[in-house]
Amino acid sequence: MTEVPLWSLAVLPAVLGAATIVAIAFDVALSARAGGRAASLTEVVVVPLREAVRLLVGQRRVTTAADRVLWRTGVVTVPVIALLAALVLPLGGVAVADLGVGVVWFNAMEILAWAAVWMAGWGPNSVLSLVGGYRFVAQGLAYELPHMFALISAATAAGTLRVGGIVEAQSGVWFVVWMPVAFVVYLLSAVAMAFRGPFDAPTGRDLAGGAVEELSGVDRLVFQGGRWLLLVVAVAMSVPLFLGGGHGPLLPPWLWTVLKTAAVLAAVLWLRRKFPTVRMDRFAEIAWVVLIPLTILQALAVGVLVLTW
Amino acid sequence: MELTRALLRFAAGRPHVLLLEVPGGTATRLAAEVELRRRGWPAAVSPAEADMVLLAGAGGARLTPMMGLLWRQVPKPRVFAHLDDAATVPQMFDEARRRLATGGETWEVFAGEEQDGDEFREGHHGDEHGGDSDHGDGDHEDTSAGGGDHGSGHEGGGEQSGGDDHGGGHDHGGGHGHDHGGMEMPGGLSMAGRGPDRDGLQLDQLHVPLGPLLPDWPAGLVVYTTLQGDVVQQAEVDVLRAESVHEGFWDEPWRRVGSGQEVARGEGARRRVAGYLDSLAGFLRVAGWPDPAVGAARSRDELLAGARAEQVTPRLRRLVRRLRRARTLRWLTDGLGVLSSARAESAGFETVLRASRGDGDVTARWQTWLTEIERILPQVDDTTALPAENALLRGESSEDPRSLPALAVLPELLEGAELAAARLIVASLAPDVTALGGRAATEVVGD
Repeated sequence: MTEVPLWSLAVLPAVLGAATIVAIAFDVALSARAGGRAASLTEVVVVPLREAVRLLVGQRRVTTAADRVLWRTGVVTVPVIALLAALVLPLGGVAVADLGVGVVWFNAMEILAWAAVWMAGWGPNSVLSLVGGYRFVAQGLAYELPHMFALISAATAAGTLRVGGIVEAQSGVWFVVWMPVAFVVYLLSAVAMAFRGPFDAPTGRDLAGGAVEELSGVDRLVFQGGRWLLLVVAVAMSVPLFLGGGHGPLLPPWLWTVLKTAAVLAAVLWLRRKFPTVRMDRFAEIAWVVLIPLTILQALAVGVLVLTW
Repeated sequence: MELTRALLRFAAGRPHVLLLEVPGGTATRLAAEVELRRRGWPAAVSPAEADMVLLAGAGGARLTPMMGLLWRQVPKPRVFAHLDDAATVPQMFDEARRRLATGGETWEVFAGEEQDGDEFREGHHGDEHGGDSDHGDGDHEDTSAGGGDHGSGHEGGGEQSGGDDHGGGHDHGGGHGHDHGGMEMPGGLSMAGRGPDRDGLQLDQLHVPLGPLLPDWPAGLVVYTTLQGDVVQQAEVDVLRAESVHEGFWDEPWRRVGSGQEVARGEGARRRVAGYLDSLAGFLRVAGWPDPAVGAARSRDELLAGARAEQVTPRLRRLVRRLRRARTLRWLTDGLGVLSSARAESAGFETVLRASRGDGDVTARWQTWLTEIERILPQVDDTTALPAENALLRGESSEDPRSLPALAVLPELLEGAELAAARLIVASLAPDVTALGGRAATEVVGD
């Protein structure tokens, strides 16, 4: 895989931003359909822009005795880690940085989300916000270990931590074929990491918004936009890890990457609507008793296959 | 300036509306929900998210300071409307959007009584002096804080309201630095007190009121909680008493029978199915499942608008079937808020709740709604007259079988529950405080 020059650092946010706007528009269309309203294409595409403008002209609020430094840091961290994680994300054969430890870099950036949401929840000195922060830490404890075993499975099969290397190793058979469990667990945890539904308890309606409860104006825009970015990046990473990256017949690799990412993202957004918000007091048990053993077995099976083949 | 104006106009195209219901406001809230769905405007969940606050139902002296606090937490541009008449909802939304597009900041009573209007305006002026004097830099210093404003119940008391005692009755709009014990505390808040938690550890206790100005929460209900982390250690139930007697929306057909009119059986059935659907929609929203919640709300509104059974039945049956098959939802609500049959009986629950399997939990309660919906649905086009023996006299409300007992058992069900579970338990009991009328409420307080 080739690395592109430094100016691509400016292109990356634009590409991801566009992808995020499309994802939000798709979600808005699904919502409108559920409400029995046919939404026109222009209407759904305008919604994300309108929301952004609405929040830009909106007032920023500060609560009494808020810890402003932690609060603002937490809010800004969310989109920043999404962008940093996306540095190793290949589009076709091109990535901003194809690090030798790409998978580890990606995972390290994701884990910063724990700190980000906790700080954003703690900062405003507000009960429901704080409870939202707690909830995300509990959620992290549930999803993170299965997530890591899923990542390890892909890295083991390719024999490298370089994302480009993992894509090359799938020129024949995609990893999803012989590690379906890892793929499914990866997607589950990707959604949980971006705390989007059904894993949206940290910002749940029952907490009046939880970690985002007190955010308004540009702070809300940065935080909520960052969440969407995080979802897009985490889901997009499943393509190089499990779905063969840019490999595919006829079409150029970048187009394959885009198509596969769009398909997975659409599936994730559509499936979300099939489930209510999953609370960690119930899910943690499943994560530890079912998902961790399953992903360990998956990693074991992959390891044995790699050694014997 | 031109640009700012254009941006404001563009942003006002899809305002987020914080819809709050107080006793007597059911019809208005339903009309507003229909209108929001038609326009595709989202319902806000907290004041910080809202552009527009809509208070449905008659206000009252106790509500005014709470509204003042909540209003101060809404970022500008913002519009407030207090509405007590369902028919004016569409015009109100148009008007509110126009005002938002030109900068908002209106504290307006659109169709309420003049007197209330004055009270509200006063609250607004107080706000100008307090909250807004210190926001030169565009940051809105929210001085509402938790200091002593226990009446607020904004979103369950958004602020961390130290360890003070909610019996003190500080529910005035000030909120500036109550320094308990004369110590200088950050932001004028006192520190949280401590108490042993369920594992015997000494943990901070926070006193947080849930309701009454909380979306997806029964109108007029207030639960004063003592929280440790997100676990409810203590819960005390109170009811926001309205000054005038309100007539419940859900038993209106029976009251008309009482006043001598002839009312079709179908109309009663319609109202009851719609009532269950309303509870179901609220419960599903709290459970974080927006799609079927919207489905239930749509069917409810069609029924109330007079749609014939064959128009509504197919979609409603699909919804019921979908929920019956919803294993995830069942798994999430099983074992929450278990009410033993003996306790249900002693509290005075009528058949509806006891019929759900003995020791009914939240799951049993929402499943009972499904059964009832399926049972009553075929009767909505029945044109024979409602028998007079079930009639209600004017001014009298039905003792909604759920209401009083539900409030009586709430504290014991909520204690020890996590906030998420507590919200689900309240939503599954869906007490209709309005149906209590003014007199029964006092008997419940302090239970």
